[in-house]
Amino acid sequence: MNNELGKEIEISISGIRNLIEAIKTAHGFDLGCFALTFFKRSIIRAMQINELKGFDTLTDKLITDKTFFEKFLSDINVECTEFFRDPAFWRYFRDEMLPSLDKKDTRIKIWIPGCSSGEELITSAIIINEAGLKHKTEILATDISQFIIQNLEKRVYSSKNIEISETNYQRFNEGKASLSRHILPVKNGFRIKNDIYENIEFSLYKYQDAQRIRGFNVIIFRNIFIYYTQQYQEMLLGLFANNLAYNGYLVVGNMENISWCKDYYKFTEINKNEKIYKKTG
Amino acid sequence: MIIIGGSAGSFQVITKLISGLPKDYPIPVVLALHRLKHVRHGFVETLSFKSNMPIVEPFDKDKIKSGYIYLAPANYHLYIELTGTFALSTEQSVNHSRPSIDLTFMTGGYAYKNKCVGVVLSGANKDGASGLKKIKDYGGITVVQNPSDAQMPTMPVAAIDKTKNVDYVLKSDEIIKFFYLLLQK
Repeated sequence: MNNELGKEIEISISGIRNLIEAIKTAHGFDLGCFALTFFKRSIIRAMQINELKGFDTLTDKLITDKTFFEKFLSDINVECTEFFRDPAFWRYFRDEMLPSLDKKDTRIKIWIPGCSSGEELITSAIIINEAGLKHKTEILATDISQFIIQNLEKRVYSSKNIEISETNYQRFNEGKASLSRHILPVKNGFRIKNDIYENIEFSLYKYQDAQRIRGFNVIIFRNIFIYYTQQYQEMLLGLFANNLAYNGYLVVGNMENISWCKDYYKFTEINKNEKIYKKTG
Repeated sequence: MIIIGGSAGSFQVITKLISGLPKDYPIPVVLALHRLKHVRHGFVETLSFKSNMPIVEPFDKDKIKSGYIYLAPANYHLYIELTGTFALSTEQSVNHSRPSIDLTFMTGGYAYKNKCVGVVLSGANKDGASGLKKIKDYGGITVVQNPSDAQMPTMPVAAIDKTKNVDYVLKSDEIIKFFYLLLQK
C-alpha cells in the first residue's frame, strides 16, 4: 500500500465510535479494545483489501455479514513480519529461560496468545526443536480470529521478508546455520517443515470469555499490547498473571511498558532490555 | 509539536539543530529518522551528547511532554495519538522504512492540527512527502530543508513537489532561527 498513503480515506472519530457500538450490539465483540490510530488504519486497510467504496458500506457489511466480520478480525491483526525479531531476546530464551525450565519429569508449558501470522510462535518452536526439548514442551497458540488459526495451519509464508528473517537467524546463531534447514520452498514463498509443528496446539481464544486455562511456564506476548488501549492492556496483564505458574516468564515487546498496570506488583523484571518478567506475586 | 524527518545525510543537520535548542525549549520535538533496524542501543546516547534537552525513545503509550526530544525507536513505527500520547506499531514497513516518516507526520498532523510543525531534511528516498502534505492539509506548518543545502536532495525535493505550497524552504541555520521564531507565535 506504499502509494496509497497520500490518498488515505478520512474517517471521523464519531464514525468510529458508532461502528464500535453497532458491532457490540450485533456480534457482542468490543472493538473498543483497540488503540485509536491503529484501529483507524485497520479500517482503511480493510476497505482497501475488500475494495469497499465508503465507510458506511463497510459498517453495513460488518453488521449484517458475520463471516465478513470474522474476516475483518483477521485483517486487523498485525503480522510480526519477521522471524527471530530481536535475536538477543531469542538467545536469552535459548540460553537462560529454557535451561531454567528443563527439569526432570516436568513438562514446559508455553502460551503464545494473539499469535497472528505466527512468526513468534514458529521462532519459539524452532528453538525448542533445536534445543532437543520438543518431547517435553507443549505450545498453545491462540488467536481471536478463526481465519488466522486456519491460515496458520497451512504453514505457508510469503518470501517477502525472508531476507530479514534469515539475517535475524544468522545473528541468533552467530552465522552457524541457515533458516533453510527448517523451511521448504513453495510457489511464491516457503513452507515450515512439519516437525516444527508437532508440539503446537492451535485454538480460538477470545479474551472476553477469558478464564484460567492452565499454569503456563512462559507467555510470549511481544508487541501486541501496542495495539490495545490502556484499559485493555491492564485487563490482559491481570489475565496473564492468573495464567502463569509461579516463577513463570512473561515477555513483552522491548518498547512496551507494563509498570503502570495495577497487577505489575505480581511480576519481577529480570531482563530490562528484552522486557522479561517473572511472576513472583 | 515539531516533527523532524530525516534520512541519509541528515545526521549532521540533526545534531546542529538539537544543539541549537536551549534546555528549556517549550515545544516537544519528535525525531523520525531512518536508522539501522537491528541496532537498538547507542543512538540516543550519541545524539544526547550534542543536546541540551533530554532525548528519549518513547515507550508505547508514553505521554508527550514539553522539554523533551523524542526519538522514534528502531524497527517500530511511531504514531502520535489524539490523547497526547505515543503509540508504537510493528505494521509492515512503508516505503521500505520502519519507522516511516510519513506515518509519524500524518498522525502528528491529525492530532496536533495547526500546532504541528513538520520538517523534512536530507534523504535519498521520498519518505515524508505524503506525510508533510497531510500536515499542511490539517492546517500545520510545513518546513523543508533547502535542497541546495541538503547532502541528499531527493527527500526535500519530493516533499516540496508533493506538498505544493510548502510554507518555508530553509537552510539548516535558518531552521534553528525558525524554531526560535515559533516561540513568538
